[in-house]
Amino acid sequence: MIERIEKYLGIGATVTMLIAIYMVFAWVPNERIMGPVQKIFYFHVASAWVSFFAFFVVFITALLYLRTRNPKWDMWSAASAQIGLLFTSIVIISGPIWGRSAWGAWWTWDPRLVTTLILWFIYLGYVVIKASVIDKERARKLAAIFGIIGFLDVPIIWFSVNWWNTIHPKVVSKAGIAISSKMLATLLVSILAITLFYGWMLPRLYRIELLRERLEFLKEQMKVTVRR
Amino acid sequence: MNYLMAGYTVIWLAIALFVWKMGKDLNRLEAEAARIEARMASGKRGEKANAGGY
Repeated sequence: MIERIEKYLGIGATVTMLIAIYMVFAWVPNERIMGPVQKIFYFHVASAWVSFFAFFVVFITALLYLRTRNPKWDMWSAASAQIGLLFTSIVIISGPIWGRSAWGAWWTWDPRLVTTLILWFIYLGYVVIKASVIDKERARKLAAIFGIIGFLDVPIIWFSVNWWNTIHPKVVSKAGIAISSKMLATLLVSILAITLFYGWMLPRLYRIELLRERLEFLKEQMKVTVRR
Repeated sequence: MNYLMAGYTVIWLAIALFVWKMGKDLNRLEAEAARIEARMASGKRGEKANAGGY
């Protein structure tokens, strides 16, 4: 059953991704002022959305781990954090490529950029803790705390364009969505494509975490057998 | 246009590398677990055979 869902998610992600690429490069018109470079926006925003969603999953599963101490929640958490880190990295790299063309600078210390960079460091910390702390229980607990605290940065990133002076574009404001219907359709398809892709990757990364645990268990068993 | 292509190249390269690494890790870990399980199973069979022999 799960394998069938994974298969459909994979097919769905591939098809919507191809549609999104067609829409970005051939269907949606260029933005009047910025020109073709504005089209980075569609996958930049979609990546940001999926990273927020991934960290929301980390937040929920980390809470569940701290409550139940069941390692499976920690494994879901670790799987989701890796995807979140991937897409935050994409946001941090694709943003400056657009910024170089639009602002004339690769990087500015803008509140949204800085808070996103902080998010990236927090989840990098999460992954480093999971990989480097030898005591498993301690690593799980620390990572869960990091995952929960890290998610608090997500609403700060979202509202940073309203709370502080910023040069980052505001697509969603009190006045509504400031893009044309064609642009909105392309953005929504891009978001759907990357969200389906997240759904396809998550169980695979969970299986990797599960296999790591199983291997450690088997190696311990082997040691016990050899000692006997 | 150059910046647009650079942006999408980076995005696709990052995703492709991640998926490649994920697939590689999954295959390696599955093979290693199967290998250890097979070794342990053959070890147990050997133990039983030895116990029967004495």
